[in-house]
Amino acid sequence: MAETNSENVFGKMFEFQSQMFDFWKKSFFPGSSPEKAQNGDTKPAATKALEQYFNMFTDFYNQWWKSSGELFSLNPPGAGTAQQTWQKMLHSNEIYFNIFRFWQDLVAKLADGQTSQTSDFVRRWQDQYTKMLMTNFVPGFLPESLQSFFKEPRQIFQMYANTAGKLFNPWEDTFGEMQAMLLKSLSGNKDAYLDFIKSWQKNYENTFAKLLRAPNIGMTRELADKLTENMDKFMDYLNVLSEFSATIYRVGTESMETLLKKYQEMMEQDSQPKTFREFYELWWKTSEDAYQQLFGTEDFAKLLSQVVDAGVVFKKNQDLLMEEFLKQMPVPLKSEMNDLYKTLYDLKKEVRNLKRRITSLEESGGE
Amino acid sequence: MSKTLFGVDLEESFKEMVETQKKLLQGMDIVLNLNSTESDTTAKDLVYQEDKMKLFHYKPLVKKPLAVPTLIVYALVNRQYMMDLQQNRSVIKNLLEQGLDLYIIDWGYPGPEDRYLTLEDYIDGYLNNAVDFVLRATGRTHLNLVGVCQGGTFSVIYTSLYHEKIKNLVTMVTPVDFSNNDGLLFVWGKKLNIDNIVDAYGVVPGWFMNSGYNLLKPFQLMLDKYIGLMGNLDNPEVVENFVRMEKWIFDSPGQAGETLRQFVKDLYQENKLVKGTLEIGGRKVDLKNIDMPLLNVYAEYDHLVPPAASKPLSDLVSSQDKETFSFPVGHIGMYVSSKSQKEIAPKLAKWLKDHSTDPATPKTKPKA
Repeated sequence: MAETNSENVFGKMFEFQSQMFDFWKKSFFPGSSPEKAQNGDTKPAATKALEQYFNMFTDFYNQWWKSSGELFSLNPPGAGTAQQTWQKMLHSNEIYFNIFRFWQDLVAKLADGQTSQTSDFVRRWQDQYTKMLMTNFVPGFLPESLQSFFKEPRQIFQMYANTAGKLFNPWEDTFGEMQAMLLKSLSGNKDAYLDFIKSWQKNYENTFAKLLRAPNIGMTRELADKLTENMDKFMDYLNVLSEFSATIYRVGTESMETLLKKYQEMMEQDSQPKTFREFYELWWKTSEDAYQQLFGTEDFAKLLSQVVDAGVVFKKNQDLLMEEFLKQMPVPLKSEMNDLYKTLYDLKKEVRNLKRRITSLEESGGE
Repeated sequence: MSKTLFGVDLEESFKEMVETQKKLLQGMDIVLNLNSTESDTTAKDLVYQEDKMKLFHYKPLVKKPLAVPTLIVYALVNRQYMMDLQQNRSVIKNLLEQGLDLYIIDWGYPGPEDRYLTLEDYIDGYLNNAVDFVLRATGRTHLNLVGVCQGGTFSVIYTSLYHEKIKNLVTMVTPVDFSNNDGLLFVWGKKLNIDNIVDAYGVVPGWFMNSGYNLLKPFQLMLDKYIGLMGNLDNPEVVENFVRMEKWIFDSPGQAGETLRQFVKDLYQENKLVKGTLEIGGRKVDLKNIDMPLLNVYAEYDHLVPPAASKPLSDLVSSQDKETFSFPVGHIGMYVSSKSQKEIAPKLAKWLKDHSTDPATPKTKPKA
C-alpha cells in the first residue's frame, strides 16, 4: 500500500533527527578535519557533512510542506481567512525555501573555496533570483494584490482576446521573452534590444498591422475603429508594463549583488549570519531597503502612475468594446446602469434637501 | 562555545531547525482547531441607518457614563472594528470601561449605485445626520468628535463647517497637510491619474487599494509577516490574533469613485485643506473655525500617515486649548498594541473627561 504523505512526513522527521544527530557527532568529532574520501570523491569530509546537513533539512522541509498543504486543502481550517492565511504562509514558505537554497549554494561555494568564482555565481543566481521575485513573489503572492498591475489586466486581456479572435496571442505568447530581452538591453546588451525590437515588429506585422491596414469603411467602421483604439491602448499598457517589470528586475538584481558583497565583507570580519534565519533576515531587509529607495523616487512614482493609468485606460476601452458586442443582447449595459445610478443619486439628493427644508420650516413654525 | 563550519554556526542552526520542526508540527493542529477569530464583539445597538451608513451606540460599561457623548468617525478604507478587534485589546472596550458614552459610524460597503457620492454627501449628509441623531438622542447640543485616519480628515472638515456642534475634537493618525513627501502614499498620490481610475471602476475596488498599500513594504507585508507566523505556530493565541488581523486587513470596502477623486485631487495633489481653498457644498472649509479644545494624536512610526502630515493641524486651528501627542507606534499599533491599552486609550479617555466637565454645556430636552 502506498504510504500517505502524512505518514511520510513523520518518517522523514525521525530520519532527519537521527541523521542530524550523526552529523552532529561527526562535526564535533576531532577527526572531522578535511580528509580524502574513497571512491574518487575529493571533497573534504566537513564539506560533505555540511552538504548533508543542508540536504537533510531540504528533504524534511519539502516533505512537511507538501503534506501540510495537502492536509489543509482537504480539511480547510474553519473560516476562509484561516485557510487563506495558511495558503499565504505556504506561498511565503516557497520563497523562504528558495532563499534557503540560495544560501545553501552560497555557503557550499564558499566551503569549496570557490570565492574567486563569485561573478559566475551571481550570473547563475541572477535568473533564479529575479524569477523568484517576479513570478513567485510579486505577481502571484496575494490573489488580491498586484493583480491590478500584473494578473488581472492579463485575464481581462485573455477574455478580450477570445472575443476578438485571439488577435493578441502573438503578444501574449512572447510577452515573457520580450521582457527578458528588455531586461538584457537595460544592462547594456545592444543585441537584446535589437531582438526586442525585431520581436515587437514581427508581432505587430502579424496582428495589428493587418487590421490597421484594412480599410475601416461600411457598416462595421465604428466597431473597427473601437477595436483598433483598444489595441492601441493594450500596446501602451504592455510597453509600460515591460518597463515597470524591468525596473523591478533591475533592483532585484542589484539587491542580490549588494547582499553578496555585504556577505563577503561580513565573512572577512567573521560577522556573517551564522544560521539560515539570520541570513534570511539579512536578505529580506537588504531587498526591502533597495525597493524602498526605488519606490521613494519621483521617477518610480511616475512609472507606477503610468502603469496603473495604462492598465485602467485599457480596461475602460475594453469595457466600451464589450458593450458594443453586448448591445445586441437583451441585457442592461454598464453605461446604461450608470445613467440610472446617476438619476437615482440626483433624486435621492433632491428628496433629502426637500426633507431638510420641510424640517427647517416646521421648526421655525412655518407652514 | 559554538563550533562553526564555513561560517555556519552548527549548534545554533541545529537548535533553529529542531525548534522550527516542533512549531510546524504543533501549528498544523492549532490552525485546524482555531477557537475564535471574531472581531467587533463589544455590545452595541444599531440606532440609525441611512443608505449603507450605520450608526451604532455601544452599551455603556459604567453606571454613569460621561454626559457628553463621543462619536467616532473611522476612514472609508477598511472597517471601523479595528478599534474593537479583540476583547483583550479593544480600544472601544477600554474607553467604555473608563466611562465614555460611545457612538461609532460604520460606512458600509459602497455598491455600484454609490459611485456618484461626493465628499459633500459624506460630510454634509451622512456625518451631519449622524451627529444630529446623537444630539437628539442624548438631548445635548454638543458632542465630542473623534476622527481616525481619513475619518480624522472628515472630522476636521466637518468641525470647521459645523463647529457649533462640537465640544471637543480629537484627531488620531489624521492626514491634514498633504504637501510632505515623507510617506510613499504621499509621493505616489501626487502623480496618480485618479480620473482614469475612477472612470474605469466607478467604485474603486478594495483589492485595488490594497495593492498599493502592500507595495509600500512588499517584503514585510507580503512575505516576512507570514514567515514570522511560522515561528509562532505553536502559540494558539498568536495564530488567532494573526488570523483576526488578516481578516480585518483584507476586509476592504470599495471606494465611492467621486469621493476618492475629490480626496486625491483636492487633498493629496492640491493640499486644499491647508491652503484654505477646499470647498464642500459650495462653502469654503476654514480651519480657523476650529476653536474648541483639540487633541491631535499621531504615531511616530506611521508609514501610511507620516507625522509630517498630522502635526501641522495644531498650528492651523484657532483653538486656545490644544495638545499634540505622539506615541512610539505605527499606524495600526495605535489601536492594537499593548501601548494602545496601557497608554493611548487611557490618555484619550482622560483628556475627553477633563474637557467635558464644563457646566455651561447645555442640555436640551430630547426630541422624539
